[in-house]
Amino acid sequence: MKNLKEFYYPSSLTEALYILSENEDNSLINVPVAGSTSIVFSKNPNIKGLIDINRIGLDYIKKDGTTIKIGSTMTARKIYQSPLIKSMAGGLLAKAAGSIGSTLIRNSCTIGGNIVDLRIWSDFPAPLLALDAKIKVDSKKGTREISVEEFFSKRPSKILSPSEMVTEIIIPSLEGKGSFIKFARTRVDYTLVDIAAYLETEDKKICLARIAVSGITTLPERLKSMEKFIEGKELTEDFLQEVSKKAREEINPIHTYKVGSEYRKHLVGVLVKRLLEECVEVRSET
Amino acid sequence: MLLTVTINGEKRKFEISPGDTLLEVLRREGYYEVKKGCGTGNCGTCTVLLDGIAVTSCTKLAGLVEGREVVTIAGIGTPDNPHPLQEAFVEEGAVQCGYCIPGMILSAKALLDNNPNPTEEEIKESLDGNLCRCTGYVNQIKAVKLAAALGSTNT
Repeated sequence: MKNLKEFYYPSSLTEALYILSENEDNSLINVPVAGSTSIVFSKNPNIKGLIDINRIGLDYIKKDGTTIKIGSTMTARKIYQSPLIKSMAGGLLAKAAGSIGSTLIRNSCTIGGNIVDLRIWSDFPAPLLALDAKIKVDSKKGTREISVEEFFSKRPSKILSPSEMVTEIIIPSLEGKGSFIKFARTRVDYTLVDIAAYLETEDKKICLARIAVSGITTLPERLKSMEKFIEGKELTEDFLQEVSKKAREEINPIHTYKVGSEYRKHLVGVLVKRLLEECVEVRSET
Repeated sequence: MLLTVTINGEKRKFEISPGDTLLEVLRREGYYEVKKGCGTGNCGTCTVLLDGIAVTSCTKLAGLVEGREVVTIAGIGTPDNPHPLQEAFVEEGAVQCGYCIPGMILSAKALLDNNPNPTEEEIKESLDGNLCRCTGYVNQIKAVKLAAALGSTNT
């Protein structure tokens, strides 16, 4: 960051937003920093200042009525260890948080940073899509809430203006069960496939399904045709085979030097089945 | 810019650039016990404790530690008065080339300071960011168990 000259230490969100508001119509900008694990490598010549947002009270997890609210500078480690997050919807968000890198990385990586500095291997988007969470965004002008579906429909730079920052992740009240699977070459390696699901059942039939995948295309996405395919049905061994097959046919992973698209198609087919088995009891047919 | 930070219990002030990493500043200011391995946050060699939490100093902007507390491996014990973890690592033969050791011991200290009786799984997880090419980790895990048994909290 060759034009980086200043480090700001606001003592309140209001102060931080004021500094950010100066970005409006400026080619050189001030950028919020929390964990800094990504920005240390930035070569962006447009960054003239960094705003330390670790001291403005955004590291919290709290219940607010029936919703759960997570401050954007909460670290992956704390989310992973939070009893409240572990007990929510089968613990899928805790599982996802615990899958990020290593303990050392999780101690710095924040949920806000993971979704704003979005990478193909970011692990928070898929579970947040499955949970149908909302992202709270603040600026000097006010506050707005964006559904995660909308948030991940484009690159973050096209969703957020330069004077805005993510302050909170809001998770609605949930009665069903979810799960999360990360596939990587080793325990701490970068994600090759992330898949998350949240299901609600009634009389053993799926009445609500949200399935999200990331890592295989530029942006994380919900597998809406898969969701429709399983809604209203009871999960049986035979049906799950059909679900696997459909998943393989529906997705289009990009081909990379690390992993071919054919392999990942097969992989997602297998993982979808395992994931759904983790969420609900599957009837075996003999 | 001027950075004020407490390192191994001593308040220090350094002139730094805003883009400096904590690792760069520490080594520039003579804290050579903090080593650079990969420089990308993947190997754990450069681990330090920041307010008691283990982080890779190569991926931490120095500016973020303003007014905070950093502990390096030299801050937890001396040859005359070693930390129980340092003694346990020697006792269990957990040191071969030594490159990964400072980082590994600090990760283990962060674990034991919060969880004095960890399970083997918890020990492995706390060390999962500290790569070792020599040992195969067996003796290092034994060393952490020994230190826990010796009662190594908050020293």
